[in-house]
Amino acid sequence: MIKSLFILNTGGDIVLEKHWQGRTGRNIITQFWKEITKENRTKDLPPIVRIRRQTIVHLRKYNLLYLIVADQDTSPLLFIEFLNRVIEVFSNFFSTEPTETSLKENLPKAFELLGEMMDNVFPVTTETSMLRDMIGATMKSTPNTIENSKKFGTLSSDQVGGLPWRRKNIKHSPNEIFFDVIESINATIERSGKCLSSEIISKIVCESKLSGMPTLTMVFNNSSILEDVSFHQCINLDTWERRKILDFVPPDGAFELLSYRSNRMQTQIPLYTSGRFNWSKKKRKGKFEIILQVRNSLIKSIDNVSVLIPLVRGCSSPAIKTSNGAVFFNDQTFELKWEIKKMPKNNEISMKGSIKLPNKGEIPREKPVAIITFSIEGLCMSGLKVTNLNISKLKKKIFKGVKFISKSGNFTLKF
Amino acid sequence: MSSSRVIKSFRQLLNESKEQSRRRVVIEQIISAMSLGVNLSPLFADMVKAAQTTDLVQKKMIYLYICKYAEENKELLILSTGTFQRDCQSQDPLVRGLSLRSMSSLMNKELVEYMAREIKKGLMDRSNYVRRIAVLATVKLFRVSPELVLGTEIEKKLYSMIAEVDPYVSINSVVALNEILASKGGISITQKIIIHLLKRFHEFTHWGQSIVLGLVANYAPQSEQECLQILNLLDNYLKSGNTSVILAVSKVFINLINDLPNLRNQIYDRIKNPLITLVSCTGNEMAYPVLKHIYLIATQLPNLFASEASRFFIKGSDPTYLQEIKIDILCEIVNKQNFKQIIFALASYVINSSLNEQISSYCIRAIGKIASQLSSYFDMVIDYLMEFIELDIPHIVEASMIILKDVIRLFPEQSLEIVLPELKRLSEIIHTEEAKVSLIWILGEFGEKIDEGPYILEKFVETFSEESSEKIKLELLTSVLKMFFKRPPESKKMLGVILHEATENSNEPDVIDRGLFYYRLISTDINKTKSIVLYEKEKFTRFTENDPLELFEILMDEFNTFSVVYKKPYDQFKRILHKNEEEEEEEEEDSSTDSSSFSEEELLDQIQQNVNDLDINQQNQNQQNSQEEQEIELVPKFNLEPSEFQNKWMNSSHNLNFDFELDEELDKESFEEILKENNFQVMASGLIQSTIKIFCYGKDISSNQIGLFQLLITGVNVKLNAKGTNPQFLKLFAEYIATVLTE
Repeated sequence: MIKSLFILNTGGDIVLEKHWQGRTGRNIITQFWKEITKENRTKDLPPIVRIRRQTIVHLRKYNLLYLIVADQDTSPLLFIEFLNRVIEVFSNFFSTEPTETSLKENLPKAFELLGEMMDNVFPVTTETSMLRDMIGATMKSTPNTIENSKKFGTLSSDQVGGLPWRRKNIKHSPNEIFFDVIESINATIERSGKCLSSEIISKIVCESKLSGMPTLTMVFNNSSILEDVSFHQCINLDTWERRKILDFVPPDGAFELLSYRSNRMQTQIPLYTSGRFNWSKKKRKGKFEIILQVRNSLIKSIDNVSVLIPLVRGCSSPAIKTSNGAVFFNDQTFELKWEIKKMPKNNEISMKGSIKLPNKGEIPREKPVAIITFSIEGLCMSGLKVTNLNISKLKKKIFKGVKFISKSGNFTLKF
Repeated sequence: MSSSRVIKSFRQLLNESKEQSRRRVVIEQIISAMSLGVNLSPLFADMVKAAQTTDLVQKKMIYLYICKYAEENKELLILSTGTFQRDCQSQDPLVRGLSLRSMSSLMNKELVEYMAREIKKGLMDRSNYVRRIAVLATVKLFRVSPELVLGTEIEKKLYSMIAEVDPYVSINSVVALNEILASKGGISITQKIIIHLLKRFHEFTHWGQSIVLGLVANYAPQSEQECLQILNLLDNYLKSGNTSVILAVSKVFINLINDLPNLRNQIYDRIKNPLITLVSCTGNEMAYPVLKHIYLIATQLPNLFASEASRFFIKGSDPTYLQEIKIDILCEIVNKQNFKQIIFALASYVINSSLNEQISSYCIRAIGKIASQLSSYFDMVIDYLMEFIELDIPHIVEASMIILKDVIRLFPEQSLEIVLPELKRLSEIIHTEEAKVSLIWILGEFGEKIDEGPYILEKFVETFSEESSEKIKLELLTSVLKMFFKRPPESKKMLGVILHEATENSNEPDVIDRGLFYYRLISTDINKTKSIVLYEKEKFTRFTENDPLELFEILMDEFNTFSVVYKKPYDQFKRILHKNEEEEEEEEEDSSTDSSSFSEEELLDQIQQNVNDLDINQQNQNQQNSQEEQEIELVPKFNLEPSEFQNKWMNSSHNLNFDFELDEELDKESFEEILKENNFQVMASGLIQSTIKIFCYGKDISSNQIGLFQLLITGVNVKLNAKGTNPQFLKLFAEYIATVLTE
């Protein structure tokens, strides 16, 4: 299983190493580092590689490289899940992203956490809420916290029958819980405006500050949208299977309640897009036009629209006309960006223009693509709505809310 | 680095700091310095003394320190037992747990009695937290003294603890038993245990669920009824938020198919969507192993994912490892319905300049592979290949010609109709080596079927003397000879020219050899030569790069393991180093752990500063922590005379034998090439039956040591015999050779 964890900075130096069984020599890390920084590397190094007959699983986040050294045959996903969990727990306990600096400042705490998260080569307690019981006192030492740290060790979850994701005796005032339903639309659009493929990848995230052991039920207008779904552990799967409602005792703090994938767009794609792009051999120019329009059926407004066109190296002198918004050309990255704060409701808007190719070199074979981003508040494109949110076992006044956001995921227009 | 001043400074600080908050900062600094790689082992006694603190935060850090340096301070370790034992009696379960966990992590034989006593007490502790730790501590005890656990009351106790109400204690007991009984095949799975664990499945953490699922996968249900129960119960967990649980459930389902063969298709249908969702909803790192598993399933059930082809189309933002596996999947799931869609997508990747060159070549190979699977569409494949060649982009032409050649070998009659008329034009537009070799091969094999066949070859012969590629020359020799037997009148002259050029005016020994060989063959018996050159070829039906089907069957048994990611069964990649060598290696690596190269002054300053500054707004620490590694690097142009080599070989004081396995078979030339690339000098090499024998040597730059070695390679098995004067160096040297050859 998991023998050792190493965390490296961008220069390949070891910032932290933790061994759960025996001790893995640093040589294997040196070798891995050579491998990943190979100059003539034409392919990306897969997250799972074998080096010196050992398996290394690695993950990069916030400029740190997390490596797990394993030498037994077990589930590869378990290791990646564990690494993700380590990063999540670090963020929660450091109250900031785990960067090299914040990790170095919090080294003793990091060791303490890793000690509790895994014992004898297998992950044990990885939920932030449960770890809070064991870690308790903050490491930033003031005489005050030392007194406090003595009081810790009550281990509330130690009582029989605790849920693995929620400790007992949580107290909050005021009591509140908020949900964000975030849908990302992936789509590939042809230049005529026809949609070649589309899907919605979505998640419901939650921030819970509720006292005690509240039970929540959430009812949707159309549960069939949630066909390809993965649930947080707190959701009672039987109730879902029988009655298609969510029944759960939430963890404390921020967490992802569920995620789902859907191919169905309730209506058409909210933003109509079309355009053309041609390289002119004679003039050594690219000529283009893009048209955007809000679908009539859409009741909400589309905000923060941007259209990004990555062009070939060396392009220059854009000559562009737009009906709305502003256009920027970055002569370092050779990217053209059109930004519109708010889409007008009824009429189409357009950007038209040309760009010069460098004087030498081939005319590109490929046309560029336009990467489009936008957001729509107060609406889910899948048509999902929460019709009822009920909280039981809590007498006090509770603030609750559900927010819906649709936005672009991988949304591209092919010329 | 001599860290005596650092030690002294820390010792002083520990003694001076009476105030708890100040002590805490000092200890924090010690932990930070320790993780930078400074050897703080001499502080051991001071730290053990400091462990008597009541501040839990300090205690945790001190125990961390003790565990790290216990090995080097064996004789002092006994001092700490008092503290450990006292802490095991503490009122606070956190302290009891910490003490038990740390003590058992020491893995020290001397302490084994204390350890066993405290673990037994810990198993009965009133706190769940302590019992959880005690259960796992039994495994550590087992590693030091198996006889204290195996077959004793501890083992019995662990079985009974599976039934405990606390889900962590229950799961930990399963984990512990599984490890302790590993040599007997793990925990003995009874129906009772399985039912118990499945009943309370929802209580367990994801990690616990993964463990239970691992057991269920190995469990043989006793009736069809039971199979269905398990299926229904676990079905919901295909919606788990944890990917490893989803994959583990899939494994259970796949294993159940053996008992429920008539439900095969329904079962696969159940796991299909969750797997696809995983690919689109998770990060690249997770998508990678999931895609590898989808690929494996697709090899067994190509149609399952056939309607979902577009899910495996590649994105420009995908890292190359995802692009490759997606292309592999597309090749497996292709059928008559999605053929056009897939081949169109692959063709568009080939010409997409934003993708990596290797990916476009990979796509061309994929297109060829698809042609071999769906023979009715080969003409469309040939059209695409011809189009690619027209593009005149070197790497695309190269890959396309090779595949074109293979497609012709697969479907000679049909494809030649399309390709033959184009050969002349192709011969004018292609420039790269492999592409030319493929074209010349086609000409030799089938060129007689078109009128201008011999003349196209003749054009190549004309430039033979200027040709720098040995490969092209060799292929041309063979093709001209073939053509000679098929169209003698037109080829006679060019055969004469090329044989003369090859034998008289070439520098390449292989070209000369082959020329002479053909020459002698023809002059000995021309009819026999004809039968040798134009032998009846076996029909070619599969690309060799296609993997054997048995492999995938084995891999299905190893579903949800690294085997699937590596596409290699487990017993092919497990460690085969001898046990004692492994230990030595670890020891040696340990000694390098504590060397670090940043300045002592800097560290001292920093400690001082941090201790005095209780706010700890630590400045950015910019110490470089580069490690001095014992790495071998060889002198590029070092040369030994054969006699010197022989002398050294006979008279070396040390000898080391080392066996290892390669990831793939290589031929003699490739070995020599790899060795030369890494500055090894090859003294002699040869082939005895199917065993490759190579004598080699090299000189290390830093140590000036010379190492000699002999390699005996049969298939993927390598026997290495290394000789030298220094055993330490020899071991590094042998390891280095193994690394070079296996990389």
